[in-house]
Amino acid sequence: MALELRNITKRYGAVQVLHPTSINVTNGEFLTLLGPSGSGKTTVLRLIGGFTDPSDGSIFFDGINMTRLPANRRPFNTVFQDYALFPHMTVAQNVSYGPLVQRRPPGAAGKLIDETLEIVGLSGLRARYPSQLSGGQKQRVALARAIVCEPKVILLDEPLAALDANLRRQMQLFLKQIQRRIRTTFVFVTHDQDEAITMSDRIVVMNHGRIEQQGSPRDLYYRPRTRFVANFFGDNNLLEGVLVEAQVVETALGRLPISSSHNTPTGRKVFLSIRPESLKLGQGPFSVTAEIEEVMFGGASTRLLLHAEAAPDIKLDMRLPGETRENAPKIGERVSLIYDPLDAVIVEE
Amino acid sequence: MQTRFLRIALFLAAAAVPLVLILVPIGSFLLLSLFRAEKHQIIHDFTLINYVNFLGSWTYLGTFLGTLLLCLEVMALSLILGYPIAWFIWRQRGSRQYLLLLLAVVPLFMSYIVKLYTLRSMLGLNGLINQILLGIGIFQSPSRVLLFNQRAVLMTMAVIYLPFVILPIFLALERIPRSLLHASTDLGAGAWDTFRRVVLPLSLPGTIAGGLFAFVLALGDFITPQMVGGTTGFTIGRVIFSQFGLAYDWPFGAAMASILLATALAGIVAAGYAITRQRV
Repeated sequence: MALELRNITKRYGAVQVLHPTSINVTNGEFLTLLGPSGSGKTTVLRLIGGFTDPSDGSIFFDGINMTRLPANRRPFNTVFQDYALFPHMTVAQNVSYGPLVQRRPPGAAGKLIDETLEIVGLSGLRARYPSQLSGGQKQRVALARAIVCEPKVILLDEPLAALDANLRRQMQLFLKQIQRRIRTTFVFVTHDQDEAITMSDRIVVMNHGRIEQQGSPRDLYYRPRTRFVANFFGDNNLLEGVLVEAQVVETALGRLPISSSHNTPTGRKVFLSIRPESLKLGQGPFSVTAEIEEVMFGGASTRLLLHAEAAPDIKLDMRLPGETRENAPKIGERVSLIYDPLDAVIVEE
Repeated sequence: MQTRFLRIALFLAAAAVPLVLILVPIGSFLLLSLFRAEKHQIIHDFTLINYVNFLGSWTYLGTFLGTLLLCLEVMALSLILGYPIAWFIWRQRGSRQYLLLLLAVVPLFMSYIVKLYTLRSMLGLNGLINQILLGIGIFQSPSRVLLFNQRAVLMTMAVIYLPFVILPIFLALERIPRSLLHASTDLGAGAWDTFRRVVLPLSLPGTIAGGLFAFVLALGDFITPQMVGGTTGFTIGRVIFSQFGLAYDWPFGAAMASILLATALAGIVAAGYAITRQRV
């Protein structure tokens, strides 16, 4: 266990921005703190970095208590949201700032700086000033500046938020490749679920200053445990109902089966969560009839928005893969929907 | 058609104000400096005799160079005093910062003469400074070294121009994004390294501007040397004043004023060049 947060909390006066939270990060892991603004994810990052002190709890790294260690003496480096590049220094000067102020021997540091600039693909831009760089290039400088310090953990505070969609996807891949190459632990903060899913080894979902759920991207996507998580990752169908038997939920659309294991007692109010791509056209013992409201062609798949016949105010969302001209669905058409009970999970409020 | 005419008329009227109030007086001064005076009469033929007289006489040129040196000293002293104050105000949080900032600029709203008299009484024989120095035992008896000399002019000017120095430095500091300070700390820099390598370079434009204010204000000030300078605190401002008010040699005064203006402009250009060289 490399980085351990033990019951850290943060209060500003009477406002509790972070309830007691424990997170363990293993060496070389890409961990993402995911949540909407105000969820406490940035607070966690700032606490790890040492920019704020926890009101309670402690931070350990490799068994050493770092809670009271000032930011400049922690073996962690941050990539800031606005990059925070020094405007009066060139790319090379920005990157060599860490080794310089840490009084590292110039010879070895110089070699490391060259290597790092090579890794992030900035060797040709050494003499440029930040004002002469594009957003993606600034991002690389910020990353290089952190990497060159050879930190045990790199903290990234929404580093891709300011980039446009195309560049963001490129940088996601780039960050992931860099992380694999240098084998450093990354703690990444974002509010973008797609980013979290595509990049992380593990995601910690936060909401209202608490951890909602943590696990692998697949876990969180297919096995959400709370309504918040079920809604947060991509589109989802959440049907309100009551768990009448261990494997049956009574909803406005009838009694619908689930096959996944859970430990919710029967009689509890729950939500049945079915991903849009798990809904299929077809007949079965528990099929639901619905009317197509909207057809949105999306290339690889077509999105259908429907409402149930039995309860018109219940909207359903589904994806049809590889549409052909013959079976193109039409607005107003009535269809029968089924799903594999293995793909359905129940979540609680 | 009528509105367009009105617009042009309004533009001309607006442009006329700075034209008439700034450029015309300066132009007339330059013109005046090319005339000469004889027995308090201005002779209207073009000559460079005033400039030749100025450059040829060590009394005038020496005073001018002495004044330049004094102004540089004022600039240095007010920066040495002003920078730490601006920095201190900048480090404060919330309402305390604004209160301190307000206190720092309050002297701007006070009468110049009142400030001069206050400083004069503080520097005087029974003044606050003398009393303090007596109290801690540095002086054995009250001393006159603090007043009516070049040193008194230097100290008084530096103190009086302090708000003009503090304000631009504070604004420059305030413009530094907090994240840069965090980044510096994050990369392992201590407080001193952060100050020396990030804060100081990034606040340099404001510091240059503040220094320029002090320099230019000191250059044109003839009241302070008169009030606290005594007989040795002679500056070019006083010389120019006496050419107009006492000697009635307006063309010679105008020539020296023109040289002073050129010096101030040179200072402004140099400062502007230094600021644009900063990448902030």
